[in-house]
Amino acid sequence: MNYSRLFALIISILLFEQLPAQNKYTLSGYLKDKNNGETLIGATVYVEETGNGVTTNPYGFYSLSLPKGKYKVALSYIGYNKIVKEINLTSNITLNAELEGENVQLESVVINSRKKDENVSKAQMGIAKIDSKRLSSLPVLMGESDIMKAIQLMPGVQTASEGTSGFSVRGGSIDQNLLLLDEAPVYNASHLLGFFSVFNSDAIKDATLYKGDIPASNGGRLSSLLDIRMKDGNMKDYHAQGGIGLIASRLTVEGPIKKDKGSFIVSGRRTYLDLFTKLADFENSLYFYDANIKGNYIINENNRVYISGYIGRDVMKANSDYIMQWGNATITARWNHTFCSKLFSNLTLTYSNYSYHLENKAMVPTLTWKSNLQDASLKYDFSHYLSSSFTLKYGISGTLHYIEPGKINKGSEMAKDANHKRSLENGAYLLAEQKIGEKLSLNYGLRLSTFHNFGPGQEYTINSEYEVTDTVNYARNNFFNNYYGWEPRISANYRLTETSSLKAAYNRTHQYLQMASNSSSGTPLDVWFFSSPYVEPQKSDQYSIGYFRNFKDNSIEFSIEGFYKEMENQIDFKDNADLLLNDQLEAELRFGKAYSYGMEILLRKNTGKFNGWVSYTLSKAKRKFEDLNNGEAYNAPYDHPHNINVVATYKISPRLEATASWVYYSGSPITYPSMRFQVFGSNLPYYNPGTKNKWRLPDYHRLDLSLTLKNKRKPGRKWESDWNFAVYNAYNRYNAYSVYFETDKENRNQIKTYKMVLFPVIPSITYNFKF
Amino acid sequence: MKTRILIIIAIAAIFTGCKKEFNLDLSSDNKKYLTVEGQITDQQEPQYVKLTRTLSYLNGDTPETVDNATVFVQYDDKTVNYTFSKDGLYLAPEDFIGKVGTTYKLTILLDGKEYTATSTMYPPHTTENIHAVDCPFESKNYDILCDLTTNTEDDEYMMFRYELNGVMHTSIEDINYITNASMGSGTFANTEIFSIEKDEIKDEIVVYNYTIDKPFFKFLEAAQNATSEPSPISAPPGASIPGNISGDALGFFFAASVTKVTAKIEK
Repeated sequence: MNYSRLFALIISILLFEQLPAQNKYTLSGYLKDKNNGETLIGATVYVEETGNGVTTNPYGFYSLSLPKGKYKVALSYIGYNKIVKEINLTSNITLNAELEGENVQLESVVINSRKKDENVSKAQMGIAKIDSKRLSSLPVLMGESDIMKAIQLMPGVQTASEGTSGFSVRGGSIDQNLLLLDEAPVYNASHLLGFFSVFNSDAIKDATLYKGDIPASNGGRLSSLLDIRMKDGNMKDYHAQGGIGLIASRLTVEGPIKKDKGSFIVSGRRTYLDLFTKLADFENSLYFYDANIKGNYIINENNRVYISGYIGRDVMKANSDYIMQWGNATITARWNHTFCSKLFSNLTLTYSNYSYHLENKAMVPTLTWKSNLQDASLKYDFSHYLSSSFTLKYGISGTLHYIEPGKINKGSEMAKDANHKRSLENGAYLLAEQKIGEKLSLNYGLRLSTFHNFGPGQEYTINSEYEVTDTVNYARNNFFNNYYGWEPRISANYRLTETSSLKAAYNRTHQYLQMASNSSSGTPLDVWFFSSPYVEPQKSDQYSIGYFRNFKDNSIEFSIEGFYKEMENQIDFKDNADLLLNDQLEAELRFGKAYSYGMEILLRKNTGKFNGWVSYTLSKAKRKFEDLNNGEAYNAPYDHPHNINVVATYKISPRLEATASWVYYSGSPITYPSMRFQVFGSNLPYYNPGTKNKWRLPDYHRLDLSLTLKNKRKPGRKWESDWNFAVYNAYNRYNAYSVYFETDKENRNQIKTYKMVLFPVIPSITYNFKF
Repeated sequence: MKTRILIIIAIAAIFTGCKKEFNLDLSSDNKKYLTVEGQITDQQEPQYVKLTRTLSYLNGDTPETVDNATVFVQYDDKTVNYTFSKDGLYLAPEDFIGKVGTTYKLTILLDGKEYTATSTMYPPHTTENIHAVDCPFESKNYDILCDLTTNTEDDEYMMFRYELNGVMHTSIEDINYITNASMGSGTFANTEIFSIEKDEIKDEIVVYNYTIDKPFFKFLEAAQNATSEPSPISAPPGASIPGNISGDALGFFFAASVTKVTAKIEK
């Protein structure tokens, strides 16, 4: 019934829009990079006479309604030369434009290639953006640029474990982040156990992290949305770029399918430590490879299609008898269609798969273990530019989830096949972006999410002692459990002055799918599981408020944001939980609440020879479970009350650029034993109840340095190259990721204390090229 | 499941960094909880219960022994009284050995409190063809493999200990535990049971396969996790080790049938 109301509302709005708007015409079109034809996301279209402005959407489209008349329209984007066009608006006009980069050298120091005062003028808050150019200049572990590591340098984002891709946003856990690659969900974003992410920086055009004010168009995770868009490919000319590093190399080729009509991009990476180990007659190997492929074609001015895909695999072999492989595969097909100059639509079909495969050939019969998770999704989004101050966005989505938690074969015989799970997750949303007067901007919307478990399947009845008391089998296509959730999303911006604003936001989210993992950073073997009759959906309410101020013609940004987040139906696991191949996983779960609050300060200089940012986050994240820690609240694993990030880039000369980043955060919470007892000659720890995560590891801090030297470009040659020299953990601090107690072999009563250290100082060198 | 453990250990080994000793001030009260270590096997060997008390975690003293308890085991309407020997050790009469299929109840009376635990002895497993191969994960080690046959379709649990050069290795760090859960029944050839430094092995190894119950298996699993080097992919410390002694006592009492196999190791 709720669907029908929503649908009726959308239809009425559509019908209303068909009525003629007296004396108003629409200016619409696409903005692109003149150099390569890539659409520009978030570029500005500004009408000088009226003071109205809009920004391009993720597909580079804009639409603006104006009264009949003559106007000067400025088209701009940071790092690009502004174009001013004079138009005589006597009918609906399509104005497509290509902006030219100011110069290559300037581009390389751009932090955020978007509208200059976007942080002050937009209603949305809690956003962190990193573009590919900034990404390439950050010092990185082992020379591999990584969007997931860069995101961790933003305020409000905490690293899950040093060097890993997992991150926590405002006190949420790592599985509460929705990671989208060209709108397809990525369930395990880690290569080599998290030390590299699956996102190849050469193939990425844009990445935006929504830390709290998640757009109503997306749902399914409590804490954040990381929206990563792949490059479309060069529309003008064929180009290649790549890099040769110490442990990995990458190559990207892009070019037009048909000039200015269609393009493609193919990008691949592979690590090659295994090749060296083979030469050394060392039989173990561990490597990964991945590939991004994308093509797009402009059919006509109203229709454009995209198809993109990703495949990646990590492979670990020991003695050719023990083999383990894991990885993601995604496919996205999209159709952009403009029904009219005011109505833009995007139809998206996605498929996502995460699977792993283990094999023990040494054992007879050979044992194999497979698991996979699959999503197939259909999403239809509309952007309706009703007037220059009112845009309505609405859409629907449906996702089929399928999980095979684990299948064991001994030889050709099936030994175990854990219960397969199926579910359907739907969403419908309506979001208004409205400007009221000169000072007030509002984004308000509502998302309805629904979740349905369906058969064939098996569910367990669990009693208050967490014992399985009954098993219920469900037939094929029997929808045996349903959840519905209304998710209001509201944000407001009150412009105090031309350069400052106050913002506030409220956001509710639901999550129906979670990861069964009790490690800090996740493992390749982690399985996901659904909400069910026993597992209620997670729910979050987040309130945030912020003050934003820009200085010196928007070249310096300052912001301070505060947030409070409450999360219900949170999941933790009992001690020594058995999470793998466990049909009765529900019995291992414990349910409770979580809450977090904090303040995030960001000072950022966007342009000039010296640029970068300083951020400070003061926050607290706690969890409270009736059946854990004696029922007392405890620090969340990602609770780092103080977190400072400093990133500074200095352009020494047109060819030489240096970047330094320094990270500091309070030590991670840890539980220490209070007593020991001896059994079989071993010292075993005893933990006092109520002391979970009571202590902290030593504070963490690290300095990374990077120097990029561009080679001299020879006249007439397309070849460009640079050398990147980087040092990770430059002052070689021994940061602890955990503490380990070891019994002295000579004196079994003596226990030694060690801190476990992952990365000492690590230098790297990478040669990058493009032509 | 062995494959699972093997591969996770391998991954952890690759990504475990270095360790640096440091000082940690962990002043905490010692509540002197009773600690129990007791076992009954079907072998002609001392059936014992050892009683000690907890210490503060970093206290380097020897655990205080409990020498004034009354200890007995009951099964099939019979009672076996244990006699105090020394240093917290209580021994059953020499002619007492366990029988497969029997459930044993341990009772300890101490300072007006009663502590109890029960454990059932299950049939032994066939362990054959013990041999050594180079460890694929650690070049200085041998992997000790065996052919293992399960008894039934049900989940079965085993603990392995070994004896080298006349020395029995029983510590939590040295033992291994295996279950056929998820793998079903049958014979599993080349099942890895130990990884031992090559230098430690001369020419012979004695392997003991204890058939244990699930609670003791979970105890061993938790105990080994608690004493293993952490890695970013392992669970954080803090999980309690589930014993089977009632009240506030810690530790475990278990009954197990044992298969003993002596094997020559060809290097």
